[in-house]
Amino acid sequence: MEQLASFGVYLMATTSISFLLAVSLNLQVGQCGLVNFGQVVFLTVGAYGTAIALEAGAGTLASVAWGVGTGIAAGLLMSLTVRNMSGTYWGILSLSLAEIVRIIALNEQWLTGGANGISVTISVANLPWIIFGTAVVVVLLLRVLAASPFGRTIRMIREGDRLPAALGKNVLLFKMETMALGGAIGGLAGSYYALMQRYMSPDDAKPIETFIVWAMAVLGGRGNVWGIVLGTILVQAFYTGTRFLTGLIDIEADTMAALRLVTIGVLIILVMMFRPEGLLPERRRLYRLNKGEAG
Amino acid sequence: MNVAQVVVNSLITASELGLIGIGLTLTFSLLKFGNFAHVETAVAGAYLAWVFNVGLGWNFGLSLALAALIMGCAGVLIDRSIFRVFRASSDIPPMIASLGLAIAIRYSIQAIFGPHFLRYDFGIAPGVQIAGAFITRQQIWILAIVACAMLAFHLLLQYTSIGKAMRATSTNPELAQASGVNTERVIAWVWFLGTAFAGLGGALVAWDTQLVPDLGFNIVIPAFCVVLIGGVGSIYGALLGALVVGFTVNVGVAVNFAPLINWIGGGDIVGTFRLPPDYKPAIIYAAVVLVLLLRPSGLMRREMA
Repeated sequence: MEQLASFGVYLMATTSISFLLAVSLNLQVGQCGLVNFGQVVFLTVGAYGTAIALEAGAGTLASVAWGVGTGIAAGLLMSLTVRNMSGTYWGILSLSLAEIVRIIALNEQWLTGGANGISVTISVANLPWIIFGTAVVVVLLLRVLAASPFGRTIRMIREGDRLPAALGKNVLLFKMETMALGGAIGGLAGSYYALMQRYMSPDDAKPIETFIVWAMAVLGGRGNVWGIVLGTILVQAFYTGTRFLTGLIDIEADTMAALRLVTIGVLIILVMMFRPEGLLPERRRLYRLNKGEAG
Repeated sequence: MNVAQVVVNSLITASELGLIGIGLTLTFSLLKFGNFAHVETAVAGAYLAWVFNVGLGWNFGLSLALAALIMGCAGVLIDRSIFRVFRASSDIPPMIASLGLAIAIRYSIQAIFGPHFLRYDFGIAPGVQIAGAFITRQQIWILAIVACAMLAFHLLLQYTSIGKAMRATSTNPELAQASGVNTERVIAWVWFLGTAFAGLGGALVAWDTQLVPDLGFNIVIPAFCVVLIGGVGSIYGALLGALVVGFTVNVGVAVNFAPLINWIGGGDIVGTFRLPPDYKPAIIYAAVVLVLLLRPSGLMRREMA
């Protein structure tokens, strides 16, 4: 029973970390229209940042802050490449940037431990609850943000650069702020990831991690924070549930892992074909003119 | 630096990427989205060729041709069943769907064939030396096959009615449709030819290196790079892009950067400084970033498809 409880707590923490990555992606894609196919980069720099800072002898809090800071820096650097590129082009570019970071992590042994990865030796008390608490706070903050003038402006940018530019909004600045915020949340997720797994390696920085986060955002509904909650829980439940399946039916773990990803891929296709707005679509507020006022 | 060897390696990389890039550039310009599943269809073609060649024990050339043909039909099927839905939507939904398809294809292959590498059944013949460069027999074959495929494609584009319709649609879809070109028919042909060429290209890459399920992982960005350098929609541009990518990668790891570094930063590197070979893929990723930032419309001016 105790084992089950601790497994449940672990599951809650990993789901919260995935959730943080997914809301960070949602902020960029769902709110601001920035098609980031390199989302995993924030997990990478956040986790490595924290692990390296800890190894250098920094305190836990300072190391987490360092992880968040590298996430922000990565977001800002990426935002400088956005310009007015359309979805596909920046998608390719962001995927390339994330791959460059992974290759550096894989090859610069002196910094990252290369293919062997880097270990975290400290353990933080009540970490799963801290992570869960953070996820709750982030949801609340993002809801406030979405209703704020900033939120309205970036949703306008999502629909195209011209209108906000004509209204005197500095589009690039808003994109930079969005990416910085997304990077901060993603970097924090990476930081927690390193503390939770107590390990980070280039294998966790592969593009497939980005696409799993995309599956969560796409499934739940881009642009709606509750959709992201639903999407994350569904994908995570599917992942964990099928893990138990290997014990029940005679199937190799490798094959099972591959089939899991096939299902995720098919799911993404089906959602895009038949319900592109996701299971819980964004509620779009309509502004109507009252009768008599029109004219 | 062995110049002849670099040239040979570059040409081989270029010919493989060129075949794969053609389909990508055509669907990109006709349907206005980047098809991330395109390179995975190349890998699927490579595995199909393996099934015919090793699984059924057929002749290797026949296996290649059959695999390309079947992949061509699969391409049309993929378009009809998935991407046709997105004709009127923006570029983002079909692109995300293509990501899903890429994942589904790659891991289906892994589930069926396992993660280990496979080889074609083709007698190992000794390589040859040409002007100081070492080239294997299969690499000579690869160059010959790609040259034939390209020539056939060129003739098709220039001298057949469907070729003309393809060029017209790629340059200006609305005008082509208004002039009586059946756009859907052209799109079907583009998927057939593009995916068939991709399947053939994938099999050739696997023949030159090895056949693994995540083969596509290493060529997806290079393939897009080929398309972007050549200018989206430009077939001959894609071939030029393939040459640029091939030479960039192979020259990038062969050049001694020590004099350059010493000259720029006043460093004092004695001897040689080369990029570690592990950074070979990063050269392409960096090239993609630079091309997109500096010349998003491609290095060539876009004239015709």
